[in-house]
Amino acid sequence: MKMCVDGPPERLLNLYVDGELSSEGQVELFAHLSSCSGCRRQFNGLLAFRLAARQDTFLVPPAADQALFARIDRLRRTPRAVAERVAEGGLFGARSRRHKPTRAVLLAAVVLVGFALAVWSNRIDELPAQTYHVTEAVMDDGALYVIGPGLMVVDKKLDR
Amino acid sequence: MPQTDQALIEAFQKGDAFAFAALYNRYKGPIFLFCAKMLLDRAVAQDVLQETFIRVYENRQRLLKTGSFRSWLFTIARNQCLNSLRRSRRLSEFDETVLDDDGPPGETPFSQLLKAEQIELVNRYLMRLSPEYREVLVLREYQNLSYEEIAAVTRNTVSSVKSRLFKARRKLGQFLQPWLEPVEVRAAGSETAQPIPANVSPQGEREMTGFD
Repeated sequence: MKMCVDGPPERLLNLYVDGELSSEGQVELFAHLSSCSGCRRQFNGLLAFRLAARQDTFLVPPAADQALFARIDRLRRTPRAVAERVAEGGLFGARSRRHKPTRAVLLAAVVLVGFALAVWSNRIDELPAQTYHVTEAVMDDGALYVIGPGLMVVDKKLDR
Repeated sequence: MPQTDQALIEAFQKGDAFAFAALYNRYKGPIFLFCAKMLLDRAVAQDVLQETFIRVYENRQRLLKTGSFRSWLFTIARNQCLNSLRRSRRLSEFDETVLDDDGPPGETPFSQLLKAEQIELVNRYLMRLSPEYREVLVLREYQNLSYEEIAAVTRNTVSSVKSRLFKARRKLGQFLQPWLEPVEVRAAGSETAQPIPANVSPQGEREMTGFD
C-alpha cells in the first residue's frame, strides 16, 4: 500500500516531523497511521533519514581555516582605498565610472591629436624632395647656421 | 556566556579581528556541512566556505543591515553552491526516478546497517535529488532551520518551502523504503508497522552534530 500522497495525512506527517503539529493534529495523524501502512512506511523512512543525517559529522579541515586567514591577511595588507576600488570592479573601472565626461574628453583629445598627426605626416609626405645644405659660419661672438634654402638659425649670442 | 552574533558583528566592524574569528568558528561547521551536502564534494565545499567568509569580511560595514546573520550567511553559501553546480554542469545530472538497482539491498535492513553505511546510503539518495529539493531538505534536516528561515535563504515563500520540503521527503522516503523492511517481510507483503528507530526525536529536537 502506498502512502497518501498530496493529502492531509502527508501534510500532517511532515508537520509532525518538523515539530509543528498541534496536539489535535497529532491525534488525527496517529489515528491515520494506525490504519495506513503506506504512511507508516513513509514515516519510518523520514525517521531513518533523520537518524542518518544527525549521525553525520563534518569537521572543517584545518587547511581550510589556514587558507581563509591567509587570504584575509593578504586583503588586510592591501591598502583600504585600493581594496574598495577593486571590490567595486577594478582599480580603474571604479574611477572611470565616476568620471565618464572626463574620459570622453580625453578620448576626443586623443582622436584629435591622432588626426592632426596623420594630417601633418601627409603634409610632410607631400613636400617636394629638396636638398638641404647646412652652412656654419663661426663668428667672433658665436655661431651662425644657415640651412638652405630660406632657413637661418641664429645663435642666441648673435640674437642680442 | 557566548556573545550574540550582533555583538560580535559590532566588534568586528570596529576592527576586532577576534570577533571575526569567533563568527567564523561559530558558523564554519554548519556552512561547510551545508556546502558539502549541496555539492557532494568536500574540496569544492571548502572553496565555497572560504568565499562565503571572504564576503563577510569584505562586506562587514553592511552586516548590521541584515536581519539575521545566519540566514544571510546561508544565502551567500547557497548562491555560491548553485553557481558552482551550474559551472560544473551538474544541475542536469539528477535523476529522481527509482531505478532497479535501488531495490532490495539484501538481508540487512537499514536499522542494522553500520552508522557509516547508513550515512553513505542517505548521501547516495541525497545526490539523486535536484538542488531545489536538496537545499530545503539539508537546511531543514541538517541545519534545523525553520520554514521562515529557509524561505529567507532560498528567496521563496513559506508555502513554497513547505511544498518543496514535503515533496523532497516523499522522494527520499520512496528511495529508502526498500531498506526499511526485512526481506522476509517484503516477500510476504506484510503491512505490519515497522518500529520507530531508537534515539530519533520526531519532534525535531536538535542535536547539533556536525557543528564544531
